[in-house]
Formats: sequence, C-alpha cells, structure tokens
Amino acid sequence: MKYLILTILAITAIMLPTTGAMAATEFWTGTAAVTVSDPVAISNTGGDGTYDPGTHAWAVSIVGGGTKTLKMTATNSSTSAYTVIPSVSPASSTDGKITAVWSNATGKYIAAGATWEYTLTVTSTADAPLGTYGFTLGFSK
Amino acid sequence: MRFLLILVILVAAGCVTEKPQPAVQPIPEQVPWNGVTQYDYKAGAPDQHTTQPTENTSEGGYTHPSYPSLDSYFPQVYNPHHFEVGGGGGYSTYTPPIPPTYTNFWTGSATVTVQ
Repeated sequence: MKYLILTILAITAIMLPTTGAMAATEFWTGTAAVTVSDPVAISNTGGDGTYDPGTHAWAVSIVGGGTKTLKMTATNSSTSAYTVIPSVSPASSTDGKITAVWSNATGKYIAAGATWEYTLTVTSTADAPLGTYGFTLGFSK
Repeated sequence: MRFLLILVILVAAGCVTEKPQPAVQPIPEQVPWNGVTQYDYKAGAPDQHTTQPTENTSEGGYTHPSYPSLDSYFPQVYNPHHFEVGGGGGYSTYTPPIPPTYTNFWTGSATVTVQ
C-alpha cells in the first residue's frame, strides 16, 4: 500500500508543469458567449386563430363544416439543404370528424438559404360534436 | 482497504463482462419499404420488370402486385437494405437506398374548438 501511494505521488509530481519557469501574469480577461441555433427555424406566417410564438401553441375556433388553417414557414439559414417534414398527431379526432392535414406532409426539400411555407388545414364535418380537440405539431429534418 | 478491493473487483468485473457489439445487425421481421420506390428482378418470366412495392414484407410474405398468381416471387431477405427477389429459375438482387433518418427539431400544439 505504501509503495502504491509513493508511486502515485511520483507520477503526479512528474506530470506537474514547471510553473516556476512558465509563470505569466494575466493582464486581460474577457468572455465569449456562443449560441448554437438550429439551422432551420419555424415561424408563423399567417392563418386563422391565434398563435403564441413562445409556446408554439395555436388555438382556433371552428364551426361544424368549416375549415381553418395555420401557416408555418421553415427558414433554412444554413449552408446545407434539408428535407423538412411537418407532422400532426393525431391526424383526426377519434370519431374522424375533425381532421388536421399538413401540406407537403411527406417533406419538402429546402435548399440552403431558402424558405418554404407549410399549411395546416383543420376541417370539421357538419355534424362534429362540440368540444375542444388537441393536436401535437412537429417538424423534423 | 476492503472497500477499495471490492471496488477494484467490481470495475474489473464490469470490464470483463462488457461484450463488443455484434458487427452484423439482426434481421428485422418487417423490412421497411420506406424510401424504396422500385425494385427490379430478372428471375423467371418475364425477364425483367419494374414495379413499386405496395406493402411492408418479410421473407415469403410478398406477392407481386402485377402478377398475384405468381406467388413464387418472394423476397429473400438477407439484411435490411438488400433484397433478392425471384423464384423458379433464380434470383436477382436490388439494394435500395438506406432511408434517411429525421429528427424532430420543433414541436407545437393546436387546440381546435368546435362551436
């Protein structure tokens, strides 16, 4: 055990820098803040109802037999192209009377520096039950 | 000291029991046709034909859409990204592109009120 401790101390001593010869005085300090943002940004560019950009929550009222839309734009600010795929889940209410469908649902190839607008269309049948229906939206690339 | 000894034994046991990942991934039951737009085969008759797969399939579970009676046209699956299609006189191969993977980078919600 003693031999082990001595060995560790010896290795530690060898690995220590020779601070006496390399001593330097710091004369300037600063900070650097680096923010890595997603190369593709999603923003609301129109549609019905109200959209909260902070929570990405869209709320809309619809009458039976009506249709409402949400328009979201993908902006590719990178130097690479991306295929951006919108998603909505579920695609319809359990009784199938409220449906939500994205345009370009299978994805859209967006070149570097380009944008593309996706439209979410929510449709209600005339006999849809009154109530509130929730959907989860997403974008993948 | 006893604690140190136990710790060393545990670490050593972990190193020993850690097994390398297999080089070959297991074959899935269902072969994803996603991203596959067409495949070719030359076996049997006709000599060559191109069609579009219509469903997920596994070995022995696919019937050619244009020739439903020719149930001998079974994909023989050897790995997830390689197919051998054929029957009778032989098989031909097709390697579809590996579907890209997509990562969700934005989530939101929609609340629809029917009134």
